[in-house]
Amino acid sequence: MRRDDFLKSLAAMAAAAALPLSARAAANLKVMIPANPGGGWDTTGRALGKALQESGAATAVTFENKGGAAGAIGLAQFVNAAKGDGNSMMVMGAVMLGGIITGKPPVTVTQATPLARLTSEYNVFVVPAESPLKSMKDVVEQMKKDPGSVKWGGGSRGSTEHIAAAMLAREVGVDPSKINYVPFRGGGEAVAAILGNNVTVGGSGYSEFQQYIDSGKMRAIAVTAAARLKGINIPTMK
Amino acid sequence: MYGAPGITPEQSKVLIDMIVKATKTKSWAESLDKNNWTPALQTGKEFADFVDREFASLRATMVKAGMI
Repeated sequence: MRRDDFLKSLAAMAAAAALPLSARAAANLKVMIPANPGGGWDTTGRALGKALQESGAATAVTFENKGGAAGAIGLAQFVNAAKGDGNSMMVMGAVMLGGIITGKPPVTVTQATPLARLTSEYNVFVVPAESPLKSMKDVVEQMKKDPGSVKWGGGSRGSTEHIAAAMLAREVGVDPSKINYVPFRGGGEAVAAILGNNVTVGGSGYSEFQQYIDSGKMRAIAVTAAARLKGINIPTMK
Repeated sequence: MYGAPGITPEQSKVLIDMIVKATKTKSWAESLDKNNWTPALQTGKEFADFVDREFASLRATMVKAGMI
């Protein structure tokens, strides 16, 4: 369905391009979202698209979702297909940087043109509502006894939650290479694993878990922000 | 947000101006509020430098944690 929209808008753009420049008051923008629909980057890209239209900067905004490999697949497509296109943008975030460091993909973000940072990112760690573990301290105690018994679920290897889990292990004297980390392809898969009690601790961007935290299906035990966040009553990792 | 490779500084400025304008809309303010996002607008070189620092600090952290 999105592909259809994308093709339709391509046709519309081709028609618009035939008009003299002065006839086009605002741009038709394309936004590459290098993630599957429903996650943090998707929400960000679509919210910005809406704001671009509301501001009058863009008459139309079309989105293309291309998930996988911490965004490296969408990034490669963007770099190869959008070259020199002044009406294209791509969403990205710290996860993509981590993925580039661990995955060493042939195409890296330094080939694209940095435009703007929109929001600051932080992660939240949660446990399933029925978990016997009530706090990050409980998680640490169990990890000290048996690192492999704590199954961490989150984004791709090299994601900020993976790094945070490894750093936590190191801080409390557990060998970080012993942590049991399960990477999921998208926020939706991680949510399902947590709600299904298939992981001990889940990590993600706050917005991905927010509705489940608010409804009590997940218990938030820590956020990776340096200070408590406004309106959010969850301890920090410090 | 990133633009395409090989765009001119003028094209890049046009896109940045559009984004800045978009972040001043009511719709963006509502999205920030709804998703509990912390606004952190940075553009152009300031943003590029931020990405460079993040790259370096993530890499250092991952080396320390034995991940790479």
